[in-house]
Amino acid sequence: MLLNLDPRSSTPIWEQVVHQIKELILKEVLLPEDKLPSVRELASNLLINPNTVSKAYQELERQGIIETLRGKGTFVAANITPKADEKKAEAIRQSLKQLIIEAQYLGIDRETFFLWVEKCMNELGGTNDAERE
Amino acid sequence: MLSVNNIRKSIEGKLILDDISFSLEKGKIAGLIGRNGVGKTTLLRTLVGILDPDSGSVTYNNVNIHTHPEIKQKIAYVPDSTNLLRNYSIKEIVKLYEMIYNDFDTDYFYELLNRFNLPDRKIRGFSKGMQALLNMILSFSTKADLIILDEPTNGLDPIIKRQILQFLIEEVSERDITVLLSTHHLDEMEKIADTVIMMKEASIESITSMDEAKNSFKKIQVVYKHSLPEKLEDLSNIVILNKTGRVTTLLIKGNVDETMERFKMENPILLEELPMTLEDVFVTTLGGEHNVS
Repeated sequence: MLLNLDPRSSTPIWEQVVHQIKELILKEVLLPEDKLPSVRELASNLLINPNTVSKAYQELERQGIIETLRGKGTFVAANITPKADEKKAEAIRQSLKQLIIEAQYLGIDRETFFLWVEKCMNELGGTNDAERE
Repeated sequence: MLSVNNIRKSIEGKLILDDISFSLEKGKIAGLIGRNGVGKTTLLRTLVGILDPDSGSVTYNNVNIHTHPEIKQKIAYVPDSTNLLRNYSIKEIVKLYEMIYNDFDTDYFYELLNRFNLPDRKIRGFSKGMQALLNMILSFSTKADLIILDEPTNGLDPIIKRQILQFLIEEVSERDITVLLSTHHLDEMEKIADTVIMMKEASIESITSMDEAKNSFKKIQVVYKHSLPEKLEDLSNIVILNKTGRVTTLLIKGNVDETMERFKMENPILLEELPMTLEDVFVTTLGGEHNVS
């Protein structure tokens, strides 16, 4: 599994790992119950500190996206149930608002904007929505 | 835990280490960086008891390593050049290490030797990369919990460098060991180290965790209608990296959010964040006008 990490980014590396694994799951590159590389494997592959990988895995586990089975390894959760997180949802709403403002100033019309949203959602496996409910 | 308490060391009347204190927790990888001649090697040599400090102490798990050298069973040190063992064969080196380190794992050593395709012959015929690998393997086979490496990847080709770093990462994830390494390869450090210790002029300039480093520094590019307002230019926590026309590139050190606000308040035409590397921090904090000493 190759993640594309940017040490120059202002996002800490462990967070980049979290984001990218989430993306791989949405794109169905990683399927439910797939085994993830061990901390040791991923760290040595990406040449990053093992503590960074542990931290990312802990966060993913906390969010219910992966699960660790003692002695067996780490797996993508069988069914990822969306967790209600008010604060995060609000943050997303705010970023969306900012995006819409920017789009308005660039003369991007409503239809184009919605089209983009739909395209993105399809790309990221929006088909799963029904099953998840 | 390694704990360094106020050590001072002068060599031939010159103060090389000036009141150095820090501690390293278990399971961490710490990078020691600083310009050539700043005292990194002297510090490492003092930590492992090759040199005695003039004052201060070094303890490992609360045992003073200078007065109780038996604690050094738990510490392995790899100097940056090891011509010492050149005339030995692999067998002789193994014998030597077995005598020094009670826990030296001979089977593991040969297993690693095999894995890295190192020949079982005299060291004299080893290339620089092979020697570096051998030194790594030897130090990790001692089963020490604290491994101190002086520029482990210096002058190695990218393939051997990767092998060495991968091996180091695997060992750390396998057995909760602490690694302290000095290096000039800042790009490697950004990904591998938890903690970065910067040395400047015989003392410690800063100790930062990598996560913190991202938050305590910010590199930005600003343009104001006329020129950079003086009250911004005079801020004590900024370092101007470059000025081209009206465009100023600068580094903010600490108090990042508040400082950003102040820049915004002066109505910039452009204010953008630039990707920041450890190298930027290194050059601005340790660079200065000094020549290499």
